[in-house]
Amino acid sequence: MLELELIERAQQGDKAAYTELIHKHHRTVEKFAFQCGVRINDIPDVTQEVFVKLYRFLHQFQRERFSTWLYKITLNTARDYYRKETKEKEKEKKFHIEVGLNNTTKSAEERVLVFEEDRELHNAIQTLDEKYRHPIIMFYFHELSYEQIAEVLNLPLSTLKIRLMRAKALLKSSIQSNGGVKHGR
Amino acid sequence: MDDKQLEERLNLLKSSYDRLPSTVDTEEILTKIENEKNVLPIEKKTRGSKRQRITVWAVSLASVFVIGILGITYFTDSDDTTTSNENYSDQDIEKLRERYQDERIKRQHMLQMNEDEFTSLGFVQYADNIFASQIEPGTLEGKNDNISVKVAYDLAIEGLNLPSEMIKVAKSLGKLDSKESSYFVDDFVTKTEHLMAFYEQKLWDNEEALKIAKHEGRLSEHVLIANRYNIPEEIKSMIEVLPKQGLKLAVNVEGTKFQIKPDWALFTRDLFSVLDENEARYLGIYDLIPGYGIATLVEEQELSQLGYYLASIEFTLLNTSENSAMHSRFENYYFELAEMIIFPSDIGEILNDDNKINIETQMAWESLVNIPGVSPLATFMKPVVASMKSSDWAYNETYKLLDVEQLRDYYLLALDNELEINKLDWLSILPDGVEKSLETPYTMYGIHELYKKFNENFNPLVLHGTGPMDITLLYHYADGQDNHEMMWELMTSAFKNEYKKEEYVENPTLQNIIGDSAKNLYFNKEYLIPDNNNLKTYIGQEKGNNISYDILLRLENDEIWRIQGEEDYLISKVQPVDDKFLQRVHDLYKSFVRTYDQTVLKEATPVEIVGLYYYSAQLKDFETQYELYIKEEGHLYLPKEEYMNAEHQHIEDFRLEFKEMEFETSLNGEGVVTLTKYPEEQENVFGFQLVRTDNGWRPTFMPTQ
Repeated sequence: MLELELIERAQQGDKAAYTELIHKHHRTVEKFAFQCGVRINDIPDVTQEVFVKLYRFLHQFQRERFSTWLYKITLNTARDYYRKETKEKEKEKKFHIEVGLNNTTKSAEERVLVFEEDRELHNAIQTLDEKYRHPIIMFYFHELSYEQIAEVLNLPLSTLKIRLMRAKALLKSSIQSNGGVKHGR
Repeated sequence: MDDKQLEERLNLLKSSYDRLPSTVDTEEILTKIENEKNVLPIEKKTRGSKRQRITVWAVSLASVFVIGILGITYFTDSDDTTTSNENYSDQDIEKLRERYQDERIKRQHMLQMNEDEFTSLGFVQYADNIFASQIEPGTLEGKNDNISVKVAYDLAIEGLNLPSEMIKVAKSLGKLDSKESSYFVDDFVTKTEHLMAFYEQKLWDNEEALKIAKHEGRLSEHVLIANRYNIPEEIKSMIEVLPKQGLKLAVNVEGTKFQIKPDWALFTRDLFSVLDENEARYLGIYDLIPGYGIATLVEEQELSQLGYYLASIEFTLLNTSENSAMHSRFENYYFELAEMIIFPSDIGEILNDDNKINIETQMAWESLVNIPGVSPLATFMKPVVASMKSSDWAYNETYKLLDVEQLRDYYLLALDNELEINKLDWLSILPDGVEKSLETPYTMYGIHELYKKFNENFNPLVLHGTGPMDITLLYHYADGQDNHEMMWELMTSAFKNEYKKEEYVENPTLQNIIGDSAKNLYFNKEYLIPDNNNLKTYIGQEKGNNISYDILLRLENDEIWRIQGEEDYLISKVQPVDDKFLQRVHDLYKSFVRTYDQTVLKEATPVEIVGLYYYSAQLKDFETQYELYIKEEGHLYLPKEEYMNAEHQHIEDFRLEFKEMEFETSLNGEGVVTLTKYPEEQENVFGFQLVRTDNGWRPTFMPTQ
């Protein structure tokens, strides 16, 4: 079945169609969430939240804009997730220094980013301000066009292009200042 | 590392992400969706389906609220605001259904749409849902039991109202309060956007056919409108309907795409007298930033102007209900726009070649610093702008430390009324010198507006940001209106501590501060003087041929300029005794000597009176000199004959006698002109006493003793 048809059927309340849409797109959501800084352990929660929200908004968007919405919703969900979490966990944090948690996160991440070079670049991207981080991720890892990214981020095209240029420059200098591990695989 | 190397590494990292484990549980997602009531998507085409379990409240809070508010008339003339469905038979419900259908068809025709198109409109779906869930038999499971059938029916009908009808209804209801207004604005915008989305889709569907409407290579709405008989029927009817609902056809900046935009200048005009003044501001700023976010604004406006728009958004946000959809939407725009103006993605965008902030950015930032009243933006930007100005706008460390989160904090404080009033930098705001004509209506028109606003409840915030000259004019205007209470409010706190309000209001001691002969008021930065951690200044006016800076104002701790009624000393500019001065004194002498009409000297400055005194002596015209003396009760004076026979000072030419004069006064009505004699030796300075009378300044008897 064509994607547009799937979306239309899902918009009409067809659950089977929606299930298929989830299957087609959940990897995108998972990866995008991880690339945007969601911890591996939190990815299932965030992904679930994204698809629940997406269903809520389903009737509102034009079919052609499905993927734009998918990215938009993922971004917002990831942001909200940690915002809520920060509030709830604030007290907890005061008493538990998160050594344990950090260790598990680290090892889970290492299973994904096996090479040090990847971890270095991934971390460099994570330290970018989000206005640089998001364009880089969508452009290089999801191959969205300038127009699509501008739409997701609600930015003028010119601003987006400048941010991408700036993001690359920042990444290069960040890697170089860290000594620049050479890629050796 | 070059770009290519970076891209290679990004590509490798991209493939590494494939190792991310997948843990999606589709069943769980579907269960969660099932468990969440009210979230089934609204079905587009099958109106009135029994599967619509959406309750009224989940559909559109804004819509329901505004309908509820506008429906107050309905509430009051019907008592059945509680559940009373028992009173409605199946036949009654059937009748309502028929009436509702008629109402729908009426609007459908107004919009020239077919049934499917009309049903696809968001607000029509909302109205249908209210009807389906609250009234139509068999769908009562989602019913909100607090709403009676009658009220629900009225709500549904109001929900169908088109923007043009909403305006009519609002007008018929009279003034709405701020809460009602905010619901109204939310609903009005929502419906407008539903229509815009519908027509944008039509444009999209007909993109190819519309390409013919070009002028010099660009799409043109005028060409399209002129050719509307040769284009698809649905576009033709769109062109007819748009203006009736406050919309217009436009073309994007690049000239490549048709767009639908609100066209509200005339359409919403009547709303401004009906809606709450602050809530109505959203209509004004929405017109600038319709639906698409700030991108359009940024594209269309100069950077130097963006500060103004940002300030308007800030003012609106701080003065409107925090619960409206417009508020949260514009809150997002506010921070996006602030970030764009203050933190460009590339710092190079705002720097000149010499690493200084470019002029457009300077203008935008300065306009932020000078926002009057409580302003998070001004508080946020002040240190940076101050530090940059001191180094000729060089890029600096203070800027690097600026963090947008701080702006958020200030904003939250301001919403809680906990942010202090922005201290304005008057030394930089006020111009070096300014002259304001008292004869042009324009000057007084602005003052009249200020007067009206301040007169509402003497809220000092109204005066925040108003300069000393306008405060002077306001005082003068209040004096003209015999508004003594306002005059009192405009006096300094030092004055208020000294005097009693009742007495002042009964009989203001400071009236007619601007003389009848003054044609202009003058501000001169030389007279902007630091004073006890604050500022004071003198406003000048014409007196005779001179400009006399004799209206004193102080900037008080609440950052408002006020009139100082009680000043120890006022010092005029030093007046050299030269040919020009002699000429002025001679003119004054000529007009006075004919009749000794005291009112001739009413506007003469103290220095001129002293000049006249010595000029008469120079001419040996002691009669004129005698006429100058104050001869009021309580002042000592000689009979004329005795004076004429007395010994007089001999003066050959007073220009050779005196070098310069300077006047000091206390506002209790006395003053001294200090004269410096030739040759300029240390103690060759003496004082000349004057007293203020109804006809101006006059020497006391034996003025130099």
